[in-house]
Amino acid sequence: MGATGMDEYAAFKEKVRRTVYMDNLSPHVTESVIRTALDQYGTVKSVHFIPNYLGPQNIPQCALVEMEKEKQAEVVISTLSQFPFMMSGMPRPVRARAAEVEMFADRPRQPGKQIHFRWLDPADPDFEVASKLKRLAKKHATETAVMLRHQLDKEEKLAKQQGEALKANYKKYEMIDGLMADGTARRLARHYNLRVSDDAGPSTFQ
Amino acid sequence: MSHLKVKKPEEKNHGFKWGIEKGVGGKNRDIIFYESFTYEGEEYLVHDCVYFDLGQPEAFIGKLVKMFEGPTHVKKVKVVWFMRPSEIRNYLGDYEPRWNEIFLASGRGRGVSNINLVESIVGKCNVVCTSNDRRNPQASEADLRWADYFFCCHFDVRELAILDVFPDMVDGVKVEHFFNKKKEQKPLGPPNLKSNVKEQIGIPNLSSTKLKVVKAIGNTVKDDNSCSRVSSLVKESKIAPVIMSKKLHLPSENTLPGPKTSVPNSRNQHCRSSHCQVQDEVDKAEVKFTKDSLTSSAEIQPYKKRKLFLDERTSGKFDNLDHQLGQDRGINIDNQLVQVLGRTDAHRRNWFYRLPWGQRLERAQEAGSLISLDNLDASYTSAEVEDLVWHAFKEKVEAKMIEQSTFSCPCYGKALIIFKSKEAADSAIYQLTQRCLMLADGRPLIARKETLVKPAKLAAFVGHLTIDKVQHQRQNEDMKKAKSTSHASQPNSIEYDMGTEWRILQQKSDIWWKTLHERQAKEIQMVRNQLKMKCSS
Repeated sequence: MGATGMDEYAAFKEKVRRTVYMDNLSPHVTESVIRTALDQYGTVKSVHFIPNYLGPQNIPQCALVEMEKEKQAEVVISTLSQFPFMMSGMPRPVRARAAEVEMFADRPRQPGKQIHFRWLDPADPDFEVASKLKRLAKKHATETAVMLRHQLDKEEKLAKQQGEALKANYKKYEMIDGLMADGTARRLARHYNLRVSDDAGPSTFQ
Repeated sequence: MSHLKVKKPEEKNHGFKWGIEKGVGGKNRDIIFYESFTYEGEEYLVHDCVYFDLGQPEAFIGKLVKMFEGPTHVKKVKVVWFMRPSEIRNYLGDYEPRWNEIFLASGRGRGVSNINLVESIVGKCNVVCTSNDRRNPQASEADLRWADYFFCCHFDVRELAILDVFPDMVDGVKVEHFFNKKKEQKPLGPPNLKSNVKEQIGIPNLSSTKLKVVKAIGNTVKDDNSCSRVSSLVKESKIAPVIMSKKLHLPSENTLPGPKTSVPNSRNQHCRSSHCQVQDEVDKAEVKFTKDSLTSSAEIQPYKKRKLFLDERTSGKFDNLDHQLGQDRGINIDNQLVQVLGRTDAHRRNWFYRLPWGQRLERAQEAGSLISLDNLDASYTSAEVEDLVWHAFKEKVEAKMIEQSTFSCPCYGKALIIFKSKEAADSAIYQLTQRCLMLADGRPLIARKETLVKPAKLAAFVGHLTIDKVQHQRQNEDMKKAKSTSHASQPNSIEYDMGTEWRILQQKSDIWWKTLHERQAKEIQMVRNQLKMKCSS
């Protein structure tokens, strides 16, 4: 690991700083959707969808979006945290935050990093603790799975609730449209001596 | 021999450079033979095994037996092929090849060898011969684990049979060249290299090279049929442009099965004559053969720089590397701190195009050789994990860290590992349950078989709402345009309100994940504190 390793790692760190991590992405979002959506904030250099090999099937996509400049990545992150940003659907917004080194599967070695390990056999005084740590890791994995389930449930619930609200809203507008169209509104207006013609704005009610 | 090498500056040729000149053709003095060349930063010597990309999904594997440049500066190599089991499946009979077993093509007939362009080489391949033939220097167990492929039988293209007794000559080349290289060539101990040096003249990079006297190409190629290996149409068509001018049509012999025989039997007059010529020149003299110890063939490469750094208390026991490597999976290195060093052949992973990782994972899952390794440090790189597995299990694997994403705990890093075989994967899992592989910072590794998640069909996304009536009109026009589907919400819409509700949920979920991860980190630390060994972090 000589100077080239150093340079490579420095270049990689630079790339990480230029990269935005996006999640809550719909499976319909493709590279071109991301590119067109973000090109107003800067040039998108590359898009990498993080593959989901082991997680549950229905978790949202996430992606690493490399911008041309660090500044542009900052703009994307700040804009997307200011406004709910919709991609390939609404109203669930996508999220963006700064990428981290560990999000890249193909990253270069960190210069100077050393790894050591040892084999412990069952007679080793630490073997029991090690087994405990293994069990703990499994417990934590289960906890994570349960938490994820919980989150997905919450999300489904919110989506359902919003779907109903939207339907109700839509029905309301349809009804108003219908009343305007079939002349009911006009008849009522005449009855109550109100003007409903188009030139009248809200001022009519003052 | 008096030919001046007219070498144009090599720019667009992937850094191609010929090595030492061996001689010119006897009759056709326009052809110059060489003993080595450098291509894409890799040095290839005569008798190296190489992957060829001939337009097939699976790279072909062959042994370079000649390399030469014709009058038009076309660079070519003559290759004796190895057959994959799939290529000769009709003739396997009850022979059950291992997954990484290949067969040396032999006998007289088409398919044994042919001439290819240097440009179709994609990289070196590490092939080990496991034949018990007394002429074959036996491969060590470590050699085998490092090998990409092995062979112990050859496939006679005339008899159409798999044979385990090797003839003296394969396609006019001494069979010794197909066996493993002699042990003394192994640059395990630098000091004895010098003794092999016989002569050092006019050879670049000699400081790190050793010379080896090799009796080259003893016999000429008498086999007329050897020039074309008719494996596939694609392959043939790729070669065709080069040999078109001197192609000779002979009746097809149909010695090979299936669609492969449908290719017209094209014969390369050009190369045939060159075989005869080279014989004249080469037969007489022993040829000096350089061997760069740094780029010597892959089967011996990995060990020379590998050292195991052990605690002082034990370092004396293990200074013999051979001893260390020969051990049964490191049982005797229990409780000793081992440092994982980078392998010298780490660049191999970039050698040539392979199947995409996703597909390789699927294949490995089918083969049962896919496992996950959990409880790694999340900051490890994929290459470091590969090194770790090599040092711990002496298995060459492909590894990839799973990226940290929204729901992953920063305390745990996980990697997917593809072993070479199901047995190796099972053995690793077994060892990790029976014993414990502890990283220096107090992480016992956990391995298990994984089942990959099939990519979800494009279902509706939770949280994206549509109004049925509106949807149909919209989808046709607007939805196709990506831009119209992405926008920042404005505060005067119902969409904005609903979007904000999602934001709140996202914030909440961030908090509960953070709480969970903090608690987990604390729990881990508490247990880790009970360890008697000292942790490095």
